[in-house]
Amino acid sequence: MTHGGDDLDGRMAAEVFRAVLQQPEPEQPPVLAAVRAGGRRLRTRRRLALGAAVLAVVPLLAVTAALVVPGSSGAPTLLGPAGRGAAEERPSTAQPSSYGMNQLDALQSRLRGALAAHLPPGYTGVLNGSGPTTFRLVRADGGYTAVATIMGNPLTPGSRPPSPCEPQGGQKVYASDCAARTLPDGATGWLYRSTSYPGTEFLLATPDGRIAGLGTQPNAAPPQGEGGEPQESKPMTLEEMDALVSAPEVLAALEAVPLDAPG
Amino acid sequence: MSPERERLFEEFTAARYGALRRTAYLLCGDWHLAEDLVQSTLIKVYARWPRLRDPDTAGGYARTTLVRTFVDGRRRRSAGEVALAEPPETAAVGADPDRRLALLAALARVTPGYRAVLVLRYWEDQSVEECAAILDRSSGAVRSDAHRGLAQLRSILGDSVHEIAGA
Repeated sequence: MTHGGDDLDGRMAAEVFRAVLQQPEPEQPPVLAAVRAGGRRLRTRRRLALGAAVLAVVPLLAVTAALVVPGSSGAPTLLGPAGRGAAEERPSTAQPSSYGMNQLDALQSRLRGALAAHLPPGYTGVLNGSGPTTFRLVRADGGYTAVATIMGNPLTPGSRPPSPCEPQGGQKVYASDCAARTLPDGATGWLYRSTSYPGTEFLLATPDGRIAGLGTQPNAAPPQGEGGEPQESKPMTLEEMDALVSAPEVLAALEAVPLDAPG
Repeated sequence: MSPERERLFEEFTAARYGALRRTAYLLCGDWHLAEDLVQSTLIKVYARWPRLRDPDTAGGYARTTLVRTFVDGRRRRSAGEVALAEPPETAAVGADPDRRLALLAALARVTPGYRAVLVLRYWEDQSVEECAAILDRSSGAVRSDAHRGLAQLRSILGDSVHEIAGA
């Protein structure tokens, strides 16, 4: 490697760097598995944070394009079993998302209807959130609890996602109180608290390896263009989250959210 | 992520791991810490991989992420300096491998923020403007830090400076 400076000090620095590296380097450790696991968790966390932090200020369509996963740009079927697994099989052609507003509306409507039909006691209704997969649950005690769906890269079919409470590859843990769950459709996952904010999350892997879930968000933001400031999202208990995601209708709606659905 | 993009990420990691680890070693002075830093960097790259279209973009993003992760980590744990042998007031630069250890000790005494600028400028061969973009600082601040970092290193190395620069 060359150095950019042509002065004495620059040559000195470059020579120091060169000299300290004049030694046998350690063998390259195997890192890919840990990197992939950590990267998937990071994407999940970012997706949870996106709704309130980004969608509140960025037009929906811009975010839709920004969240596109290259390789998943074919026309998605959002509803029904036929849509499941389609994201992994689409050709790798990096193009903007082809989601139409009708498909986004259908996705949002299905999720909202499922949540509204199975609200835990203490919640009185569901309002749209800052994007098609984020919602504000209206609380009887006033205010909202914001929730967003979780998506992630597929796992090997039949495998359980690693516990978010256990460090993977030496990475920092952002979860506590993890409780394993096996749901009526055979999906397996974890119910847990976030340690980065007062939130609860549910992460599951379907029998065919798709990652889905639901988590609360730090802020409850209204839909873009509706006006109003984001409010603090009140925490949801683990018991409430457990009851909500255990309803088969909610579970099916969550599992039908495609990998590249916008937040 | 599609199998094709997974394969590209594997190729990227195989091709860039060594260079990233060397840069990380210059920043933190310890191979194990360097490997931790590179792993943290690759996790962030992987999370963003679906949106990185070509190796050049990915390489630049990885470099920026590596240096920022180092700098941010330094801010969060200012007491976590790399555990090197106590360096002498003025590093005596003799024969290898003593020379290498003396230079490593000298480098460890440079303020981490200045060290990051020096590594970017004189190892990664980045312009002042590129360094400023990577570190999210002004060009003036980068020039100032480079000047101070070089002054620190020169002072630590003492009379050895001319021998090193002429090597």
